[in-house]
Amino acid sequence: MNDNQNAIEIVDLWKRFGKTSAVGDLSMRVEPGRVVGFLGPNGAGKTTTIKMLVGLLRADTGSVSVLGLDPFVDGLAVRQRTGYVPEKHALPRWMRVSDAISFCRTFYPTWDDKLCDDLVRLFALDLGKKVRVLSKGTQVKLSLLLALAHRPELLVLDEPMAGLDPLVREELVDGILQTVGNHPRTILFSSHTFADVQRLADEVAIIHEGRLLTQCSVEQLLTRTKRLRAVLADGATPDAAPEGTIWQRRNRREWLMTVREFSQDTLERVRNQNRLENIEVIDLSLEDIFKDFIRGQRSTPCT
Amino acid sequence: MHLKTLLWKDFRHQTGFLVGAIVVLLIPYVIALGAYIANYFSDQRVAEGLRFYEGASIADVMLASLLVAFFAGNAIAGERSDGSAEFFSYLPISKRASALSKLIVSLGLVVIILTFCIAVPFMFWTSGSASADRPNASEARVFLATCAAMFGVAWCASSFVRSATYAAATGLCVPIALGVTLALISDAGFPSAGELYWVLASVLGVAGVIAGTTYYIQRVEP
Repeated sequence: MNDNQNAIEIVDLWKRFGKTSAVGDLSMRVEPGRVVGFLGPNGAGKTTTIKMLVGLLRADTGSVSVLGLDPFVDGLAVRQRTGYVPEKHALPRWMRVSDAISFCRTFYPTWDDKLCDDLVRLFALDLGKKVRVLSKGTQVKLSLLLALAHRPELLVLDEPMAGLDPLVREELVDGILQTVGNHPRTILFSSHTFADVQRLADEVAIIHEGRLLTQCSVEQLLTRTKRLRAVLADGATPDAAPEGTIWQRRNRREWLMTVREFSQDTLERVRNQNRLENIEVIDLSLEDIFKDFIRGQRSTPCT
Repeated sequence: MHLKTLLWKDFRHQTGFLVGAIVVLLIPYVIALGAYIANYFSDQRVAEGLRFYEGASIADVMLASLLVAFFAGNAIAGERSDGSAEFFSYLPISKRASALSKLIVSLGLVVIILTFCIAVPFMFWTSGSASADRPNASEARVFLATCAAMFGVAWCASSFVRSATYAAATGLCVPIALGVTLALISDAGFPSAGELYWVLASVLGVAGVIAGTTYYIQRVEP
């Protein structure tokens, strides 16, 4: 991969299952070394996109490039340089933890035994136990160990922490942070747990119905996306929502709107263009912003 | 190095079936032992002791021919049904190496089991102590062709479906259906049709392995 090449580049990607379009005209890119939270409601096309990234599904149209390679054509090379933890952890149930580690290390020239040992200790894995007796959380830990121990250039995580208790989730996030901290690498991970996203991600990409709604840094999203709560003057109707409004709702005289790229100018424009009794600016959490993006369903490219 | 690891994995995957096969193949001998003991202590001995074991060994040959379909059927579909096919599909494993390993292991186990099962009645026949007639070349040909067809069809079905049971059942049914069809044609006035069985069954076996392997290599798991 060249220094200026994106770790992931998706252009006009489409994938249909029968008449249903799982991914529709999706374009996004991830720069090397970035940690990207891949967000979307259930059925948004996250897993389908991820499967196309790791070469488990073929795109109908459009192109996917991972580390400069086509994951479907150069599947072996991409998989050797990529770590993947799927939503469903399908480790062979008859294997012991030590078997799974020995088996996987054969296929990765970059396998790091020391890192593997460190992760075994960090996740408190019992090497002698069979996969079938491991709890769900421990299976996820083992999957993550197998994905991390070969020092992949790209780590793809598909809701790995779904359904896990907060303690296990914290251990997993610690494991990722520890590995990423020592050796910066690109991570794309989908999750519905916004606390984890906020802790791990540099940027977020939000998709809905198979297309990208926005992709920008977490910090930018949190500092520049605000909700305005206005109370309209008696008998007044809202004239115009400000530019960058991603969602709005009016309930009698109360007018709520969530605005991207918020500034004092935005506030002044709303004040000047509408007859308001008062207006207040409300800070939003990442979860609120995500919900408003999905509710609004408007594409607002990140500037 | 990769192939060695894959062979180990595929052997372990078949271990359950192997244990099951050994148990199934021991059953006729256990029954023979029971019959032998009952016969030994009865007032009127109806047969020599060896006859019971000879019968058990012939039953084992028949059972072994059926087990062929189970090993082939489990080779690919078994990993889909337990979900591990997806895990292996995102490891950097070449599909050709994976297919080769599965074929070597399942075919190897089948050959070992058939060899052991055929060796016992063969000893009876070569020692001259057998009561049953030694099979002629034509019967041996039909037996081996049936095994080949069961293996090939089950392997091919295994490559397409998610259930090892369905794949094995297909492997068992298709050669039987072929045999019954040819027998009916033969009875209807075309006696040469019956003689075609071993040729068609052999072709079916080889074609099944080729088709199943080709499809498996091209298929994106799971």
